[in-house]
Amino acid sequence: MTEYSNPEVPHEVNVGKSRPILDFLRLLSGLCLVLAAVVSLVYFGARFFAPKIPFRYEGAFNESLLKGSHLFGKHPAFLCAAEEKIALQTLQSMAEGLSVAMDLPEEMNIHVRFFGGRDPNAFATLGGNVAISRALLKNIHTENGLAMVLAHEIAHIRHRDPIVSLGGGAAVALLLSAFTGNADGGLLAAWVADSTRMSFSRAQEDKADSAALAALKTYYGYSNGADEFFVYIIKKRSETPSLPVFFGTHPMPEARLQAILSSFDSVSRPLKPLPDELLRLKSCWPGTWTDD
Amino acid sequence: MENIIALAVVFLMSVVTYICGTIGEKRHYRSIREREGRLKNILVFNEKMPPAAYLKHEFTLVAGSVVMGSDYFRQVLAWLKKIFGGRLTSLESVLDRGRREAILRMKEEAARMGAKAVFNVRLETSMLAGNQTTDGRQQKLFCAEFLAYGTALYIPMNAS
Amino acid sequence: MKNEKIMLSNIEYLPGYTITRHLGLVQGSTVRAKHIGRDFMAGLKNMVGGELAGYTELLNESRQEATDRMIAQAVGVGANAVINVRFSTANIASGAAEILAYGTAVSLTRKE
Repeated sequence: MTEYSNPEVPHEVNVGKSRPILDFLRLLSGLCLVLAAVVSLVYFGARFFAPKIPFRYEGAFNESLLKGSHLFGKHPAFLCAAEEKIALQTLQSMAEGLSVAMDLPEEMNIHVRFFGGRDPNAFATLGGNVAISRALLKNIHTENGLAMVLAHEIAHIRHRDPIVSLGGGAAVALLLSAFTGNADGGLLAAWVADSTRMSFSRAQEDKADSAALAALKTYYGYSNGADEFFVYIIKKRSETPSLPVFFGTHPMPEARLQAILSSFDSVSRPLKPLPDELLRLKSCWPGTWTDD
Repeated sequence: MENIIALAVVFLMSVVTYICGTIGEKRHYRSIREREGRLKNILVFNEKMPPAAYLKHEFTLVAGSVVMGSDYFRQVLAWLKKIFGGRLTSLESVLDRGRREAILRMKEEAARMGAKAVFNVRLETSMLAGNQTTDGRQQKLFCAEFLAYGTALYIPMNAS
Repeated sequence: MKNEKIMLSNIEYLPGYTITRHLGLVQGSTVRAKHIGRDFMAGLKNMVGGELAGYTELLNESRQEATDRMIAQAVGVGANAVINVRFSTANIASGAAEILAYGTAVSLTRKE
């Protein structure tokens, strides 16, 4: 007769030995590593490919960008609209002269604009836009110092730095919003809106500086006087410890000042005063102002 | 700030549910082992043909079922594991417990009938869809129904 | 189960019995949804893991009802047993499940 019985079964075989907390930490760190790798791949990939986009597309993108930006609007604190318009024309022709000196490609048109009031600053953004703050103009007294600032920003545009910065950031923002399922692209929009004040790397700044100094040498025959804005900003920083906007876009002024000074001719050169149109605008402005 | 609060809530929930889940698991296993020992004289087979020894027995269908869920922490762990693949050890215990619990309940029903053996035992697992939380969001919580059923053979009370 | 007249088994051939008539497939099914209160409690329970007693109870009730309906069909065709019974559970929507029981209705007589 066949025997029917149910001896004890070793049930443990169906449950793997698990150490949940250790597993959790291991998986989480693995996930973070993978994420970091993907993000940096996308970031550097986008930075690499962004300059391959033809410059003419920047303009189209930028028009929509600038429309929503308050930075370029008419500043209520300044009533010197007519003087500002004439001064801009002068700045524009200076920029064009520098563009020629820098041998800028045909399709890169530079547009100079004013923005803001209180913080002495300048930046370059998409579409060949160079923005100079009113406070910067207010505190600069030679054409050579101003030309250095302009040439520096034009050099950024020539090197396609704005689209590199925007491209890397936008690609990561896009990736993150896709990953978090945030389909409305709020992160991307925030990034683009902020891109008018994008920051560049130290290497990009140094490269722009040396290109600007070379342009000044072609334009004036020497680069002396290019240090004015840097000297001013270092002095200003020693007086007021926090200058957030400036540090965001132009880090490490001391080191850069050294490089600028070493490019000077050893004999002293005459420095040009600011053009009359700019002086007229400056005299139209009130002595002191607050931005906001 | 909101993100930090959300992360803190997730972390706190993970810790609390990990502790509760571990305690619950230990307690459940203790109960399962105790009842398995008590019911070991009821034999279960999944063969279709009961032997001739049961010729004089009556038969009836017996079933046992249980819905089991995994705790939040182990579900997060399983979710993470699903990215990389591999054994979901954190869910294995739930499946093991669920299946043994279902068999135990079937045996308990058989025991109430006075049966000595259950033949043609079938095991079934079915996933229950994600719970609808009150805020209308679909939550993919792991929960499954385990069913065990078979034919219990017993000597009728009046005949014995 | 409850119905004394009808015998149930998930085996086709039963020792000690002869099948005199095969009466075809009978089935019973029911669709049940868990109500929101129970769902909410189960959702809370699901956070800490373990048995979700509310759902267990719900599915047991449903399975009993499906079986009763199958038995009603079997009675209707004049059977005294349903053999080879199978159960199946299917999620047809979030929070609703169909429970199905089916088998073959037969007339059984005890071998002497």
